[in-house]
Amino acid sequence: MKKKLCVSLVLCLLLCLCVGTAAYASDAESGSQLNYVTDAAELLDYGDRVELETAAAGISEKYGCGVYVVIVYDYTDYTNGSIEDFSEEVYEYYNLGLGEERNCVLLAMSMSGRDYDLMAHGSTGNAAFTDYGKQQLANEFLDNFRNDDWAGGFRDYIETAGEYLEAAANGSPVDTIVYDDYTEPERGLDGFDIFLMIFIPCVISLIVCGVFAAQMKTARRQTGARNYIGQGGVDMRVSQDHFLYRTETRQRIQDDNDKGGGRPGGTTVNSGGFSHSSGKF
Amino acid sequence: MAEKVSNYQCPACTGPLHFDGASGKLKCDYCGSEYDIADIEALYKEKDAAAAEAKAEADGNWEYSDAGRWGDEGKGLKTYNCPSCGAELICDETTAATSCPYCGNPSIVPGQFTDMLKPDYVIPFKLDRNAAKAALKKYYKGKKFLPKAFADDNHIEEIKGVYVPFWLFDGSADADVQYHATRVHSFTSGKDRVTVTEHYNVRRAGTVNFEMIPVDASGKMPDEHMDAIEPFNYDELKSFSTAYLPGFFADKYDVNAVDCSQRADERAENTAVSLMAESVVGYSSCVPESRRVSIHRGKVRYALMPVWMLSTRWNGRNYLFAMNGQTGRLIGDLPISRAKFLAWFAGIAAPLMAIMAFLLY
Repeated sequence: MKKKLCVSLVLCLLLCLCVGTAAYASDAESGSQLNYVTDAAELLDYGDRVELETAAAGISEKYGCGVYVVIVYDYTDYTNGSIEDFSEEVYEYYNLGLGEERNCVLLAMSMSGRDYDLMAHGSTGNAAFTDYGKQQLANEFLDNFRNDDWAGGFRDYIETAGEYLEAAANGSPVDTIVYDDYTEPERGLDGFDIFLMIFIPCVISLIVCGVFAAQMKTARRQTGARNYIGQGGVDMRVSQDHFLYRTETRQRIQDDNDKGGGRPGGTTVNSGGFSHSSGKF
Repeated sequence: MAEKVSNYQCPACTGPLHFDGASGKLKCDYCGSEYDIADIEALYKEKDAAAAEAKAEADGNWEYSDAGRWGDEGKGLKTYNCPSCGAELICDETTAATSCPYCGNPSIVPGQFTDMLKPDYVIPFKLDRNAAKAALKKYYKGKKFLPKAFADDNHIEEIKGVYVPFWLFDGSADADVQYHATRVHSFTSGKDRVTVTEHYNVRRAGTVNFEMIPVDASGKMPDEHMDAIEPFNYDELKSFSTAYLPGFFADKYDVNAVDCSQRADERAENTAVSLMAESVVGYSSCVPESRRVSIHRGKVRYALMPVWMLSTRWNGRNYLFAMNGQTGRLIGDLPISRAKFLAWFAGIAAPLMAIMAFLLY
């Protein structure tokens, strides 16, 4: 709780430092106590902050899903947990998100360890930002961040988030599967597939051709004499079956949940309703 | 037993007689008369006795010069005179019956059965030359890789009916085999799949009696061909008589029974072991651990079996076919067309690849 208080104080200070005009996040409408773009690490200049805040606000209101950026020097100053915990705590503490379900997508960045977390919440947020979608979204800004192009990276993040929300609104969220009429993932043929594609037909074809070729050679030596068993036939003198021992093996039955993934695609949501994709930049 | 060349002439017109498989009688090629084998044999017995008496009356021998002898070259050859046209003929030392290349008369080569075992049995030819030709044409059908030119241009170079010598072995095989067998069953216990394997020591021992396992006794005949045209129907075995031979070639054995017995033993042993294994039922797996087989040899008989041999030549290679002259079973190796092989291979593989690509993509 001490940490939470700390977070509260620091972020309130940030709030004051941030541009607080009507152009920025309309706290009154969203209920949030934080702007869409909160830069405690002072990466952005004034002009960039205004530009990004305006863009994020527009997209958030258009789709009913808050698009947030929170940048700190070191997230461990605010939480004992991981950067995912930091994202969730900020979300909860500042009552982020739009609508009854408090839909949002939040990019949290910690400069000391160059950690980031992309977090989504709410049915709109989790539908638009699937596990695959979050990875793709991260790819959009990570190349900028790796070159310390902060404003460019945030710009890409906000623009791409808008595109993903648009795609989800059209019923085709960015994912590994196409939701319209096809449930299997679209993918190309990899090397193993090509090997199977060539090897199996060749083996089957060789077997069939081998059967045909065998018909061409019928002169073979006889190895048995079954046709010449005499009238006495077979006289079985001994027919013994002795039990020796038994062995037992146990194998855990895998259910669908154990199979690691089940149906591909979609969004993995934790018990708090959050989904994450985190890493280093 | 024929001590001299005999070609059984028709008592009515003196035309040559040959054995007719369809009627089981000796038939005249010219007047069409048919005679029972026993009647002709009796007639010729009387003629032989009369000829012997006449020979005894003659006296003196011609003297020959010391001019060239065949020496070692002649060891594998046999000379005789055709009783019909008098031509002096040379044949292989194992040829027992043949036909004269000059007058075409079938004849039995003199002395070929002397100093050797007389065949116990003979199975007469039931199928004729035309049946053999028809069987070969039928054999070509349905062979996917047969070159078209082989079937179209193919002319049978030689077709001959041959009485092939076989040894027929009686005996028994005592087999004693031990197996390691398992029974596997599985059930579900909680979240586990439990597989229980019961291990058994299984022993089977018994005796299998065999009657008349045939082994080709002619070194000239390929063993694969002679094995593959089995079986012969022993119900039609006849006591041997040279009267069945005219009209066909006949070989005498040149591989003795002792040398051939090894193959009969192997076949008996394989079948005995196989029968023991088949009696082990109700197990998931059965692996033989040890086996002991002893062969008890019984009677051996000598028989002549009817075989049509057909040979043809294509692309510089000889192709030999054999047909069982009793049952009509025909075997032989055929050439494989590379083009057809590749076409079939591609024709099967390509659509399968397309289906696989569709399924995998």
